[in-house]
Amino acid sequence: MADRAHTLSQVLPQLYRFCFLMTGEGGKALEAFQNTLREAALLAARGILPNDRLWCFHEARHQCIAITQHDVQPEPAAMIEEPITPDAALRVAQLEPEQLAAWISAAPEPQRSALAFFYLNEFSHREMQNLLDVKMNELASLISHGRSQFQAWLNTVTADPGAT
Amino acid sequence: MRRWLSRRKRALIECAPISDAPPSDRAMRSALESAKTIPEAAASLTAQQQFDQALAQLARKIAIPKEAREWFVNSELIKGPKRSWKKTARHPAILATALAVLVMLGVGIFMFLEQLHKFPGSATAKKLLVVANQTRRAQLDPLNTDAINLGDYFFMKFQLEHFDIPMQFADFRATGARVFEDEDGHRIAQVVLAESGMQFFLYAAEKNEPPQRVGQGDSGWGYVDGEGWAGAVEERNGVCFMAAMRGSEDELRSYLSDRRR
Repeated sequence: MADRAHTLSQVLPQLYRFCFLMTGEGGKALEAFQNTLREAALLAARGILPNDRLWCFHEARHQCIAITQHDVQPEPAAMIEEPITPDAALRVAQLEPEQLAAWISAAPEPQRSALAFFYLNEFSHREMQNLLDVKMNELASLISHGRSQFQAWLNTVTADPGAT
Repeated sequence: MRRWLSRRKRALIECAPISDAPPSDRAMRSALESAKTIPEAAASLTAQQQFDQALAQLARKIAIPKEAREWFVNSELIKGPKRSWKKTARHPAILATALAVLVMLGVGIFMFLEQLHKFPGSATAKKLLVVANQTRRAQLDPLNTDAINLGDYFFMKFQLEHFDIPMQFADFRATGARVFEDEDGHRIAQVVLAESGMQFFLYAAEKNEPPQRVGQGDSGWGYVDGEGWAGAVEERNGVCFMAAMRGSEDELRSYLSDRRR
């Protein structure tokens, strides 16, 4: 787990990355990021900004959901899942961050948020449960299915690293 | 393969930390240690962690645009209010802790004060106040003699040595007496007086206690109360004498000091 950031300035890069993973687009990510910080500034001016680094991620999640609610939503369909392969890391190395963000942002809620929080490598499982308001088993299921589905997608969009 | 682990541990392993650093959470540490002891689960965990690390590394590569970086400069100005000591003191955890400490302190002080009132034989004396409250005249052998004669009476009739009434109570008129055994088998002498609401008790002092003056201060009396009675206990020659009077400890204290004068 990455070092725990405590001040707002320390969490801002991760906050932007979270918005980017959630929205899949730079413009929307920036909008959600700025809206979150404006809300934080407003609450700070009123003296009611919570001294909790989770607050800004909680707020950013709501901003991202609000911004993307009029976008095309994923249809509820069973996605193909495949087990993790030993060459998965090599396949991931062929991807660009934008592709990861595009895939995560296309996932249905709350899986989208769960994967975005998890791959930020910023939170413990208890903090993620708190942020998503889900039980341990639900969180595990969201991440586990997301992992297998991502592996299936990875197999289709990347070249086999073993092939010559 | 993960069926070897409990459902809870399997769930925890699905959310296993991406980095190799040991997690601070105890349940997670336990789940990871369990998984590492099973070869199949360990291999699966390694593959999962490599996969997650690759994705986390990819997420780290997300570039921060200039517009977002501009916010970093002034972000120090966005701060929550500093928690005042008053607000901290009102936190439920602090309040609960403070309350618990106060209760423990209260119990400690109570026990300390109780200990101050204790003296050798005080436990027996307390029980005898219950006896004093419940005794009926019909339970005692009728007598009509001065209290000073009771020492001889107890010795002659019950072979109880040193069961003498102190001189300051010598002129009291005894109207009834008996000797009975308490639950420990110790013999106790009880005297009912003509003076209403007053009784005497004599019983052997505890043998493991060194002879000492039982009371606090110079009076030599140790006081107990209960059941609406108060008792003043004095030890002499290995025998405790208790003057029991219906009323409060203060009333008995003033009564005894008047008698001494």
